Amino acid sequence: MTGSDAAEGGAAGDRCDRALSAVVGKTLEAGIVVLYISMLIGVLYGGVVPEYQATTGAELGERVLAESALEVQSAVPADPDATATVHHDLPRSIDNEPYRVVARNDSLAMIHEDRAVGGEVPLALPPDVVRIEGEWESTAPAVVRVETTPAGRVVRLEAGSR
Amino acid sequence: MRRSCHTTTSGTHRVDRGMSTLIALVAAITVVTITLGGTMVIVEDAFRETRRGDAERAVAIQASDRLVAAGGPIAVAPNVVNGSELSNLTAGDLRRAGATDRFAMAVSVDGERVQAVGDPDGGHVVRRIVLVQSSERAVRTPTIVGGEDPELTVPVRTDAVALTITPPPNTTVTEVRSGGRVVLADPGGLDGVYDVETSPYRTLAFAFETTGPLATGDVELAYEATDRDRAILAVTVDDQGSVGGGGEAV
Repeated sequence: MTGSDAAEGGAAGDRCDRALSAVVGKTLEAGIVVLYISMLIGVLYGGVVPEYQATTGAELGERVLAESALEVQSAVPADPDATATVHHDLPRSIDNEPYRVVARNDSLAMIHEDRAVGGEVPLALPPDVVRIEGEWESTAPAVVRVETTPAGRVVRLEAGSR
Repeated sequence: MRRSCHTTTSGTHRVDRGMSTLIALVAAITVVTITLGGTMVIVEDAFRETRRGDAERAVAIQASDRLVAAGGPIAVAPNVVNGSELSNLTAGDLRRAGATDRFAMAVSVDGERVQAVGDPDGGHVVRRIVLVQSSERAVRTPTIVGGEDPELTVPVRTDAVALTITPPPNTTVTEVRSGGRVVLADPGGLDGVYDVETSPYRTLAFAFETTGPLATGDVELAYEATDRDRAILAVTVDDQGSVGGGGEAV
């Protein structure tokens, strides 16, 4: 009887922990979930998402620069006496930062706060174009203006009006 | 207290239920993790696909435009390039068309590389249909039948002909007409090489006013024979400043 009582007592002890074990179990479960979610947030926002944003920004930057170069090139008419004014659309920001497109040394360069975004694309313009100058701000409308001067034609990147 | 403990019967079953929630949780977390991992792999793949080299594409389009433009280094008219200038295309011409140390460029005609700056390996290819104009000096000795006052027709259209007249000793050529128009005349006799302007819109024909017979070989024609062949001009640009951007090469 005593043996069975002791055994019963042991079992009863286990059973009495049941209430406690439920609390511990639930706390453990909640802890695991909280830990898991915080780890997930840490991994995603600490490394993966910024990396994706940077990659997207760099790709978009290259694409915008390439499109701009083609736009500038096609804005110059074949006739050496012809002038032109062409409007160009630029995204207002890349990777949540404004940027500039600058003409220098017969090429277009993109200036962005993030050094991974940007680059330089050479421009091939007709031989009578003497120089290309000016710059575009992403926040202002972009205009290419081709003007004739006695020395030859000049291509200007300017801010236009909306 | 102890009694209340006793009132519950299926204790072990309860513990199992607690365990089963934990197992379910672990399973759920595992599923979410695997799904997330798979998503990230797909996203990485998608990003790899987007690296298509827009800069090299822009440079290739510009260069091909510049090469076939009327004021370009090798073109005689829009989309018509001079065959000999095309084969003498220099690296400097390519640099003026947009090639740099970063953007390697190669120009090929019908798959044969003509000139290159750097060594483009892959990259973006722009192909254009162009006419390659080749001109060479053609010399013909037309057959003359009829003896005195012969007429000859050559199935050629050109705007300038060098006419070589070497009459036999007892013959004098006094006049040459082309299309009813007198182009050469000398009562004392024509002998030697004469440049004659002709109409490029009609077949070459000459009529000779002679005293005495003229035979085959006494008149020779030399002219610029221009020929225009269709060809595919391919401009390959490889951005060697960036990784990736595969594709095909020519």
